[in-house]
Amino acid sequence: MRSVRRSRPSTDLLETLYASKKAFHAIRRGLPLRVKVREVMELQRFVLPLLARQRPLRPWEQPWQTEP
Amino acid sequence: MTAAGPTPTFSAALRAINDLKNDGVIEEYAIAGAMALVFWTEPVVTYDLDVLVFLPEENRPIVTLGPIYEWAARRGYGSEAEHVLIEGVPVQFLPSHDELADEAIETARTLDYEGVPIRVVRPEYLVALYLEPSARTPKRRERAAALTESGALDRDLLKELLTRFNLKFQMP
Repeated sequence: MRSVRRSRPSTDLLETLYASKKAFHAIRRGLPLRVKVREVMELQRFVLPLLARQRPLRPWEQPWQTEP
Repeated sequence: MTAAGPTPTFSAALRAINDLKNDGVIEEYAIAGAMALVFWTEPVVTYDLDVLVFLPEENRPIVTLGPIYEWAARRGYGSEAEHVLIEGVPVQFLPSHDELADEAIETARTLDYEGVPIRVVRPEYLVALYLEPSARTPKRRERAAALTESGALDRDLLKELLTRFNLKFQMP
């Protein structure tokens, strides 16, 4: 067990960080639908290669061959 | 769509789902699952489009998806592992399995995607569907929580659904 005494963020700082995270998610919720669909397709391209390292992909687990 | 044809679009896939209803192959539908979530809250990764459907009554106790696959084949859409590839999007059609799913279809909102009207399960029903014992997974509980934080959710309606369908959920 280490006994190093670390400095901690203040409550105010944590509240600011949580508030900005909340604002970030609110902005993302309000994105135009077409932008969100484009993002889903980008996520597919990022995530599928990682998923393929863990297990065989199912037949439908492919990036969509479509435009948003 | 052909290999030499134009690149398909997501709106064309949605239009095809509307055609499925207009052609009488299904009685009604509503987009569900993660893509419905995208309509109400933040984008999340998903690989298919779930569509809850009412199939026409055929005086048979067990429903069959055969007519949907036949419709898809006539339009040149392939199918694999219970998914129909519509305009480049794997679509899974899910016949309504209980009263909650029935209501989710009946009360779906008609939204607009690039000029295409599309019926989407309301967020309160998405949360309730995620909480059904047969569907409950950590990922789905997380999605249910994300929906409750979206401004689109009617908390009173959700509470009423949770009570009526005997579902447990600690709202954030």
